[in-house]
Amino acid sequence: MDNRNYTNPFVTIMHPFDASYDIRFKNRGSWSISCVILVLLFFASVFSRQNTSYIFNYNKLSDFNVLMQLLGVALPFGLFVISNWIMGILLDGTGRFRDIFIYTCYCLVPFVIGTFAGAVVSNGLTMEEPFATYLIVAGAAWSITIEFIGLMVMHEYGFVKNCFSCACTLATMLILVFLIMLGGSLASDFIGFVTTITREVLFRVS
Amino acid sequence: MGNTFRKLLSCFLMLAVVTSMIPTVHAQNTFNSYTYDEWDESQKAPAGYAPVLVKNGMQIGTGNWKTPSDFFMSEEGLLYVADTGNNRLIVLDEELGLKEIIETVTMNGEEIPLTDVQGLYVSNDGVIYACQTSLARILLIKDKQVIGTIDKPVSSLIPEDFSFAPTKVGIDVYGRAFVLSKGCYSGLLQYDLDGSFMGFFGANKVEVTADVLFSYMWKSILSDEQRAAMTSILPIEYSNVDCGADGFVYTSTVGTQLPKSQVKKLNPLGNNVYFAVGNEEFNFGDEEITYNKTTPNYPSFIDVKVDDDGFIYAIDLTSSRVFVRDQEANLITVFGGYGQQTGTFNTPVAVECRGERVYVLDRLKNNITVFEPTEYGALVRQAVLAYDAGHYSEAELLWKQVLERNANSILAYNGIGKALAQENRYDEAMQYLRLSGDRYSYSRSFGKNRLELVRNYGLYAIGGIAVLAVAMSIIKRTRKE
Repeated sequence: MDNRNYTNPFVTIMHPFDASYDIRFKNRGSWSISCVILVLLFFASVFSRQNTSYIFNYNKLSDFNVLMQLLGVALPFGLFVISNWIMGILLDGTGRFRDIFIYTCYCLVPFVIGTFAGAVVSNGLTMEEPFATYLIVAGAAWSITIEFIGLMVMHEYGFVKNCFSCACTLATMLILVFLIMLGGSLASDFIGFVTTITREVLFRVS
Repeated sequence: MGNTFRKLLSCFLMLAVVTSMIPTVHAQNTFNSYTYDEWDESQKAPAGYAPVLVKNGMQIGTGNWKTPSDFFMSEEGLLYVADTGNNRLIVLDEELGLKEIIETVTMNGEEIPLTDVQGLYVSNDGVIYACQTSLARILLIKDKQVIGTIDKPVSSLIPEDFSFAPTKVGIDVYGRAFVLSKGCYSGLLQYDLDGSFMGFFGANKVEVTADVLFSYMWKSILSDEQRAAMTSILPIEYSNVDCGADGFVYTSTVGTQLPKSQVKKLNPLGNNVYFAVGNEEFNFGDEEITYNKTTPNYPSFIDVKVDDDGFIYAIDLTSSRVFVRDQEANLITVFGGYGQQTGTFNTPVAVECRGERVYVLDRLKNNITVFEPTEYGALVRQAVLAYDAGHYSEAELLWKQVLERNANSILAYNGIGKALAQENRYDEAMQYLRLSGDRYSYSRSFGKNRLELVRNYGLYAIGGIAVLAVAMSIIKRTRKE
């Protein structure tokens, strides 16, 4: 493995075709850079929640819950990567889990920058000037575009098949959420059942 | 040394005994007062109104009342109470002293009893409008003489099987009558000065809920017979009507599906013009709602009254509280509550006011409670009125006094913030406006402040950038050389 030459995330966002090819077929993705970007994404979401100008910020600042915020970032990301990996297996995609994860992280860079910039810029704007939102939307649009291109290249799909794969990925995300909720409610029922039985037994014994 | 200590100690003990003997006066309220913050969470607030007088029929000297359904404070300060269960009208003065009992009136030379009077209104020239619901008529009474009636309207708009059951009536400043008929979903019945029917006025709209959408979907599929078998979707009828001195008709609604626009201010076209900032529908009553299993106990308003200063009082049956809001839909105060003590109600059915005093009629307790604004309540009223009249600096002083008594008052923060903004003190204004949660005004102050910053320092900033650019290019050139 050629570990010395990682793809630069800032190159990725300008050259999605080359970068995703490099990550998939030349092993030029880095786990550590990906994790740094994920952490930055979390920071960006916190910053945007707490430091967006008061005029645009309808969050109750004192009601901040780090775990919920973390869940709000990690859950969609994790679900997307896992769903896309599953769809890759089903639709004969060539991308590995590692490639999808790393490339998706790299793709988040414009969104992270947009979110940070939007929050900062909003502090100089009045209600009639929604430019901060434009920044965030532009970042998100950029991220989605290069993610789409990258997945097409690393799975070796055509355009139409990639569209189908992405639609299926979104559907799979919903199914996964449903399964998680189902599992959660079953688990809580089961725990309740076990606790009741234990309590009953303890009452009988004592 | 020990002696002086003992003397001091005894002195202190004496002092303690003496001070404990002075009776302390507590003004403990029998109900909770609160206001809502930016996040629609209730925050404690001083009481805006305090009960000053409670009297039932026995104390007034008329014998016990039976389910009184309405009362009305006339222009000259006489309080007409419809003692429905006893088929009589009782006239009281402002201090709830007995003036007169009207049991029968003369109609076409005959003495007729005042049976089943459920709604009352007294016009400025002293004519009593009494709604006899089960007799389907409204009597116009002057000096115990029936001088006219309002009967079932004759019009092509009215179907043959229309049942006229007037429950409440309001007379507007031009003398037109607005009648509320039980089971009539088309709005208020509007009568002209001569008693002729003019048409329906300001019907409630059907609230779009999931149920309604679902039944519309079914109705588009089903056949006519099946459709007829389904329950029809009707808007909610009004519970009460009041005509303000401003010429608008105020209505209240019981049991809305969604807690929105329970109190309406209808313009002459019959459209609601009572909205919160940003033309938004708002909840007149409690934001924090209790649940009966899974059914929310939404506020339901049984009566509405608007006073001469434009403050709107409405009784919420769900919480037995009276909500007071101003014309901009700001919550001024909440008073009353369910209970047996003075200042609380069992089933409040009607609210009236005269000057700053508020009268509440209780149907099950058979009594009337008179409230007066407390020091805090009077201050808030004055401040709102001063601001509305455009006396911003005076209002600011009043709001500061309000703030000393209630640090949770977003109204006070808003008032001070807006007053400061009027004086071009945007920096301070922004702090107050932020505390009040008024993003729109905050944004305006922020914009003005930003403009000032650019005017004061913009030139320096541009100059600085220019100097920097020149310096950079010089450095580049010298390096090249």
